Formats: sequence, C-alpha cells, structure tokens
Amino acid sequence: MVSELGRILSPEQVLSGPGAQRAYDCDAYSVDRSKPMCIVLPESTEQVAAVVRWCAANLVPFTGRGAGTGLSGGALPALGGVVVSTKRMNQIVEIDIPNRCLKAQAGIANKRLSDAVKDQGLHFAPDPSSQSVSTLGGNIAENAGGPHTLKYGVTAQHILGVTMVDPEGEILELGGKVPGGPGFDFFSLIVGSEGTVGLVTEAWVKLTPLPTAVQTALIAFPTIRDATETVAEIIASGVIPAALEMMDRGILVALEAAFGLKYPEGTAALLLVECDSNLSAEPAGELVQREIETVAAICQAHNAIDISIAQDEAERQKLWHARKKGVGAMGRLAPSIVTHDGVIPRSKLPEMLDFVYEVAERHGVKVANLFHAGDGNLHPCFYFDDRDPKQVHAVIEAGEEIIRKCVSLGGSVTGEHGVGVEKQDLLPLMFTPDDLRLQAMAKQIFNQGNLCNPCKILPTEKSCVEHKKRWRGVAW
Amino acid sequence: MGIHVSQLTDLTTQCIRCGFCLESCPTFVLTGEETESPRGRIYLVRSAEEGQVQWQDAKPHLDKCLGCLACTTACPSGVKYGEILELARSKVGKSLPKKALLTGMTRPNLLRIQLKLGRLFPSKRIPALLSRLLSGQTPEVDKPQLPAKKSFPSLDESKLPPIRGEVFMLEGCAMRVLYPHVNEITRRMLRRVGFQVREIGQGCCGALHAHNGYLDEAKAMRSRLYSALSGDIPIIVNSAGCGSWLKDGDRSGWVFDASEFLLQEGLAEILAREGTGGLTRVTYHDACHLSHGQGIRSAPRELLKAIPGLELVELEESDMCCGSAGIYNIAQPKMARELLERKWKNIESTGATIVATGNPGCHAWIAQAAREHGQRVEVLHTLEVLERSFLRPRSTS
Amino acid sequence: MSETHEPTAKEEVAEIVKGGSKFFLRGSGSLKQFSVRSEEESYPTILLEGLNGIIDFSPNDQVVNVRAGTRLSDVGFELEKHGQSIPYLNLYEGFQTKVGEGTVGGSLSMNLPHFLERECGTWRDWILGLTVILADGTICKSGSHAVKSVAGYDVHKLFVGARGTLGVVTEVILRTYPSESLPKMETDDNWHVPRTETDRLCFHRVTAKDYEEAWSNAREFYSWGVPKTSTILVWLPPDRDLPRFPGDQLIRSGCGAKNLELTDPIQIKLMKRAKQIFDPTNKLNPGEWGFM
Repeated sequence: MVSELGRILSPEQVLSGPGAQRAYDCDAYSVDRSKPMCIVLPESTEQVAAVVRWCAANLVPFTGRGAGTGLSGGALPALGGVVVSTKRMNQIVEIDIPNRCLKAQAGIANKRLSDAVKDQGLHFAPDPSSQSVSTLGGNIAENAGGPHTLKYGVTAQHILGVTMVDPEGEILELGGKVPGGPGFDFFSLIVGSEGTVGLVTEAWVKLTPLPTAVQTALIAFPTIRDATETVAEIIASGVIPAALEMMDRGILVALEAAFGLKYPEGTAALLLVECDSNLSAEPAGELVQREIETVAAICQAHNAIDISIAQDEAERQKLWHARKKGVGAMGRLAPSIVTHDGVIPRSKLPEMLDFVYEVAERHGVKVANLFHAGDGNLHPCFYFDDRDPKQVHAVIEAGEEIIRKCVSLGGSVTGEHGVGVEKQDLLPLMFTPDDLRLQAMAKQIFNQGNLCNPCKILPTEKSCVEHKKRWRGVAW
Repeated sequence: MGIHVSQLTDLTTQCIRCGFCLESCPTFVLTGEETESPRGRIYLVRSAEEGQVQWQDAKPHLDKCLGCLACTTACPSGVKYGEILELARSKVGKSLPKKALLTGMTRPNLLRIQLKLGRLFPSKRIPALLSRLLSGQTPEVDKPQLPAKKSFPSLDESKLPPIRGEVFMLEGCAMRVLYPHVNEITRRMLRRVGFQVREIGQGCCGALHAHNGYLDEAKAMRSRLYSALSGDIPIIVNSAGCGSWLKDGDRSGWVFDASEFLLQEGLAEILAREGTGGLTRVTYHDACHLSHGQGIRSAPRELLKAIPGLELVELEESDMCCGSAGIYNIAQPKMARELLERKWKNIESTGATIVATGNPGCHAWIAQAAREHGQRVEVLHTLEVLERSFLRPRSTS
Repeated sequence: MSETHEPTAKEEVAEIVKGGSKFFLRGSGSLKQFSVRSEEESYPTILLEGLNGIIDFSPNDQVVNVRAGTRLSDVGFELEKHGQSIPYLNLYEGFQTKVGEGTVGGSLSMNLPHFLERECGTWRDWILGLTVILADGTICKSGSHAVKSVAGYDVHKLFVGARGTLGVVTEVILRTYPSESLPKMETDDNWHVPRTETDRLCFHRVTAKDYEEAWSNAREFYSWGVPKTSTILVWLPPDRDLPRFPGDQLIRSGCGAKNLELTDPIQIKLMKRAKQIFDPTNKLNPGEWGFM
C-alpha cells in the first residue's frame, strides 16, 4: 500500500511506521483515537484525486486532515486507511482585489489569507481562535465560527466556490469567483459537511474590508444575571457588535492565577464588546462611537461596576487578553477540562446561565464560562480530575443536562465545533429519525459509499467507532 | 540518570493538543508533517514514555527539532517544550560522533587547532565523513575560518562616565575563537555605560550539550561555570544560546543578555547623542534563544533604532529559525539549508545592507549564505553595528 | 382545468403528496413569469398560500419562524413593528411593491438575484432552518432557531433555489435584521423600455468610477441601477452583452428562465443524482428543470 501510493505520488509524500501512525491517530479531540495505515501529503488537486481514485478502487477508507485542530474528531481516521493531509497545499493561487476575493489551496493557514491582503485594507473574516494555524480547508469542512462571526457571519458566508475531489476521485468545481450560478446550491451543502462528502482542495473566498473604526470595551458586572441581561438587551437594541463575548468568575480566577491579570473587586462576569464599521472613515467613527455609547448606557443600566474603553490599539489588545488567554489559563489549572458547545436563542441567556450553575452545583462539579454571548453560543467548561471516576460521571451527567436544555430552548447541540465522532449521540436530541434521514439523503448525493471520512456526523454511522469515554474533550 | 519518569509525563500532559504551535515551528512549516511539529513531538515523547511507541520511533523526529523554542512563544498553555526536548533527547540513544563534535566545539583551544588543521584540507565544506557520520547527508556547512585580528582605537576617556560597577562577561566557546572582536566590543560597550568587566578564566556553560540531550554533563558544566563566576555581580552574555541556558540555572537573576543590560543602563541615550548610522538600512534577525528562549525582542531593536540616521526595517519571519540551531546545520544539513535559503530570501527582500543578530551560530550560518549570494549584505552581531556607529565620524551638518 | 389542492396545514400537504403522482407547486404566483413548466401538461396544483402566518417571532432573538405560504408583505409588516426586516424585503424599494405579493416559500425556492447580494447575501444566508415535505410524504425538518449551528448537514440550504423540485417547503426559520443596519437603496430606473420573453436578466457590478458610463450603456434596455453599490440589473436580448470594465463583476447572468440553462456537466450530474434521491418519480414540479 505504502509503495503503491509512493508510486502514485512520490515516496517522500507518504508517511508510515509507528511514529507517523501515532502522530496522526487523532486531532485536537483526543478522546477517541484510531491509527491510519499511512498518511499522504499531496501537493495538488490532481494528486489528491489520484490518491482518492486509488482508495476507491482498493476499497480503502480515507480521511482528510488540515492542521488537525478540530475539536470533535473530524480528522480522526475512524476506520484506519489513508489520512490525506493538505499541509503541502498551502499556496494562494490568485488574488483579485477589485472583486474582493482570492483563491487559495486548502492547506493554507486562515490567518495567512488575511495577512496577504491586509495592505489592501481587506481580510478573510472568519476567525476561530485557531486561525493562525487552522487551515482554510478545515474552516470549510467545519463551517467554523469565531468571535467576529456575530457581525460578519460564519465561514459559509465567506466562501464563493470550491474545487473538490469527490469520493470517487472526480474533480468537481462548484461556485466560483462569482457566486449564484444556475442550478442547485450544492456548494452550501459542502461547507460544514466535515469532510464527509469529498475533499475540498481549493476555494474562492470573499474578502471583507477591514474596519475603519473600532471601539472595544471591557465591562465588569457584579452578578451573572446583570451581564446576561445586558447581552440580551444589546442584541435587542439593534446594535450588532462585531464581537460580544462573556467570561465569568471561574475564568477570571484562572486568569489571575495563571497570568496575574487583575480585574475589579466584586466582578462576577466580564463582557467584552467590540463595535466596528468599515464605512469611509468619518461616518464610521461617528457610528461606532454612537454604538459603543449605546452599549455603555445599557451596561450602566444593568449595574456595571467598571467600563473600560480602549483608547488605542495597545489597550484594545490588553482588553482582549481576558478572552484570548482564558482557555490557556484554564488548561494550566486543571488536569482535565471538558467544553461544551451548545447554542440557545440569545434572549434565553439569563435563564440558561442560571441553569448551568444550578446543574453544576447539583452535580458537585466546577464550571467556568467563556463564550460567544452575542450568538448565544455557550462554552461551559468543566474542570476536574479524570482519574476520579465519580467526577467523570458527574461531568458527563451535568453536560448532558445542559445540552438537553439548549435543545429544549430551541437551540443546537453544537455552534461551531462540529459533530464529528464526539456528538453523534446528541443529534437525536435535535432531530427525529426522519430529519436525520433527510440529512443522510443529502450526504448521499456525493457519497454513496463508506470510504470518505467514514463513521462521522450521522448517529446511524456511529457504530463503527468504539467510544472510549463520552463527553471528555479538551476544547474551546 | 537522575530523571524521573513522572517528570516527562507531567510535562507532556500539559499539552492540550490545540495545535497553536504548528505554524510557528520551522520544520512543520517546511514539511507539513505532524511528526515534525511540536505537538507531534510532544505526543510521540509521551507515547514513548507510556510505551505506546518505541523511543526509536520518536528519535528521528526529535533529531529534526531545531530546539528554536518558537513553539513556547505560541503556546497558550505554558507547555515547557525546551525541558521536554532536553529530557527526551537524554533518553534516546546517544551518538558518538555528535559527542565528539560537541567536545571539539566547546573547547576553545581544541577548536583553534581544528580550524588550523582544517586549512590543510582543500574542501570548503566541513569533512564529508563527519557529516555522513552525523546525518547520513552531504555537508552544507562551510568550515569555520579563524578570523583576522581586528583592533579598535582606545576609548576617549574624556567622554566616558565614571565606573559604577563590575560585571562578568561570558566569553563563550565559539565566540572567543570565531568572533573575539565581539567580546572586545562588549567590553567597550559596557565601559561606555560605566561598567568594567571582571576578567576571569572560564569554561563552557554547557548550552550545546544541554540542547543535544547531554543534560547531566551540561548541568555539571554550568555549575562549574557558576562557581568560577562567583560573586553577586551581573553576568553579561553576548551569545543567545548560552544566555538562554544560563538563565535556566540557579543564578538566573544575575544573567543578562548584553542588549538588555546595555539598554537598561542607558546605552540608547548615548547612541542617540554620539552615534551615527551613515544612513544605512539595517534589518534584524531574532536569534531563537534570544526571542523565544529569553523573550528579548525589543532591546536589540531599541538600541539599533537609537542610532541617528539608521533605518531599521523589519524582517519577514524575523523570529523563524535560520537553521543553524547549535550543531543542527551539521547534524541535519538538508533541513538547515532549506531554512537558510528561506531566511536569506526574506533578508534580501528588505533591501538592507546589514543584517544584525545576537548569536554566533546564526551569525556564521547566515554569513555563509551572504558569501554564497554575492556578499551584498553584511552579517554582524548587533553590538558590532553599535560599535560602528561610534567609530564612524559624525557629519557636521 | 386541473385539480387544485388548497391545504392549510403541513400534515395536509404531506397527505396530498403521499397520495398523488405529479404536482405543480404554487405560492402566490407572483414569480410565474420565471417558471417554465410546460403549458401542455397539466397536473394537480398544490396551492400553498393557505399555509400562512407567522408561527413565532422573537424580536429579541432576531429570529422568525413563518409558514411558507405567508406573503412577504405580511412578514414585513410584522417585523417592521419591531424595527426589523429581512434583507430581501428592502431590496426592491420595500415590500409594499409587487415583490411583497410573493410568498416566503416561493421567493426562496426561486432565489432570484438582487442588488445587495454582496452586502446582505441571499436566502441561503438568512435561512436558519425549515420544514419540508419530501416526495414520499415524510415531514422533515432541518436546522434550528439558533443563529449559529453546525449540527449536521445544512440541508435547508439545498432547497434555496431548487424551484420546488426536491420537496415542498412548508415552514421557514429566518434570521431577521435591525432595519437600521441594512443598506438603503436609491435606484436609477428605466423600466419603460419593453422587454421580451427571451431577454435574460443580468447583474453587472462595476467599480464606482465606472458606474455612470456603465449605466449609460444599460439604459437602452429594461434596467435598474443602484449608484451606491455600482450595480446594474438589466434584461438583455440574447445577442447583446454589456461592455465590461476593469475590475467589474457579472454577479449572475442568465437568471429567470435562463436559470435553467445548465452547461456544466458536473452540475448536471449532481442535480440528476439529487433528484434521483429526493424525488425519484419526478413527482414535484415536473418540467421545472428542463433536463430532469
């Protein structure tokens, strides 16, 4: 197998042996692991197609992989086989500034796209925390979000077209520089399909003007309720902040312990609010000023004890510290952490957060929250010692209750981390068997077999992965 | 061995596999292979420690690590990669040629003899036999040359401040043989800010040994050095690799890189007053053990920018390893060469005529690229650039 | 005159679909001009206008769940009470014009292009979920009320622009927007020029400095222009093209009836496969895509 693939590509593009098999047996979700037989590193769409055709002909399963930063096991080679890494496909193919788009290969790190056009005042808007390393292909597969998706939309809204190798090894081009061609919109289905309908090798992405004016505020609240009600009211006021993030006391304690960051006495929750505009400079400045004042007024009405507004870029970066360093701080403090990714309608935040704390207390587990409040995308983060079975059990129970509540409030089991192998059991909470059949039908348009990233998303396909432990991810 | 199993496990479990280190790692950027990334190496070390794979499976990938520590800068969870690497390397098999090479490089007299002997052989590169023994690859590194003696005009006593203290200066193994004038310049700079060097016989600090897995020997060497430099006065180091290693030891609070110490003691003001840059365009390469190892990025830049008339242009990927990495360019010539060419391309595109850096390894390796590419750019230690600004006559306009 | 079903609940639609063999779907009929069903063939029509009304609207969440037969103007009036809107309603000088007569289901199924695609996206960007009756009568839903979700495949987006050939859309969950945040449109218009059935609808976007000239080229045809976004919407005779400008963009060409002209073999293959999976007996809107 290795030698055959080595002939199709070059020997140097095929990795095998115990070291390589180990290194590629999971992504950033490490609860479930499965060894691939080998790893290939193609350099072009044609090479990917050649590998896939070989797999299809020999009935060998294959799984795409970018940087391996996924949080739900999307790049896990569940049935072994071949891991197709895009990391040697990291070039920008074409930049079209007047039409504000560029075409790049799937393996390029997302941030490099923005870096390439920042001098032209543009950027690629989707910004998951991992954007400096996660790949364009990974963003497309997972339909990634990030703090700024509240205003700018998730990845699906920024992809204009894709080149994809389908599970038979045929090269498909869908969409393009100019979106909205005739026919069914397959390409919306491909974005977010977690690599189960083929391997995206190149994409046209939309470039968004960089903001010409930004205002960032960090607001401290005496109670959780004050903060969550503020979020709901900001959204209802009609202001659409670029980012609206919340951190609770658990995160602040971790930040103080890990980095010595200090926050005002009596703070139960922090909100980070960023307003921006990319209108021409002067109206943008006024608009953003007005928005941040509206936000500040709402915060004040909800008993804010401190409102810091950044006066320059350095201060802005400092305010973002709390958000960006939060998870790292958690990682330093606890032997194990589990982060959930449920979503709720935003007006339900106060009720939901109360519920999260109530559940944690009832199960005797510790929880901290750092999340995209503006989207209603929760990341309750349990920290515990996984060597104690009682704690593990309590964390599992608490997590399940929280996810059930999200669904009962009309929300979703996952906002941005994906289903992968981690949340297959959760989908039936949201969808009936008929609903899931609809999804299976959609997948079938592209993938009739069980070779292309098998055992993912749909609960009916789950059986082929032996779950070691549910609900124990390290993630954000 | 003196190494506890649990120590390595504890260190590696700090990694939460987020992957934020990936794009900072030069070998991952070049190969795209998880096994050549910090996360992959940590995982392999942990797996070897837990018996999931053999140490021999992890070894080739540990060998390819530059030890540049760029990953520690990128890591949000504070994983101590440097310690993991040193411990892991000490557990995998040792290579005799590598040990001999280390010994040869870290004894100044031996190194001098080798360099003189080296002139008897016609080849420009280091001996192919040595390279094959170490890497199985053809050599890329030019044989080092003994430098021509440089002399400096004596300092103008009337302009100097009174002496306010004493310091030690680490003479370094490679530094004192290959770049003795940098040591002389360091003394002059220290004197300009009012410090005198307490001269004392000293041996190797052990940094190269430590970075290659000879941890016990390295620690012993460091202890010996510390006892030679006894007394509570600052230890000034002009070689990033040595400084980084010394800062990990017991006397860490007393160790300073020359650039940070000189900036702190007011050299920038003196440069602004007395120096001249002659309108040169300079760029700066961050030595890994200065930027990632010691977190020193702004001090050298501040000093360079203080020189009137000097234009400091930022180097693309300035903190990406040049491939020198101690003895890496001898042990892993192919990867080192790729990194050097990448570095060189970035240097050339700045349009600078001088590239400054703070480590002898980077200095020699990048200087080789400069020779190969037509000597259009001069490679200097940061302190050399500063010294020139004092020597160049100030224009009267 | 063929039979017309007028269901008022999705369960009724399911029963009708289950019990028959071929159907035409119809909303308000306001976009009939863009449909190309064969006039000779006549099948029972399912009139979806009776399936109307807002199921729930939470202004604070900015999410509305609406039955597919609801007129856009009715949705618009309700949203406007809370200062909200969906971009489509503002596109053609507000929903009180002819566009407002269209139904939500019909509009998203036809997915006509509009002026502000770059600024506001299209139906696929506004839709959060839907309920659909499959060809075998199964009632399924996709998506949720969450404004952000990656739970499974976004099948709901596949029904956008599918012209009712994959399933009968009965309920739609949409994201709403504060009206203030949506770009306002001022248009140059020239719709007094006659146009013919064979004319094709083009969207031409140029850089700001070329707008005046581009508009002067377009105005001999049936056309609209939006100076603010330098966009021109024009119906062109088959043999005519607009002069191009550096850095311009033809957002879409060949909408409406021309939308059916597919040349890309991959697209055709995938569409046939999708149809085979979703509606193997060609029950829904037969003829709406010529080649299927």
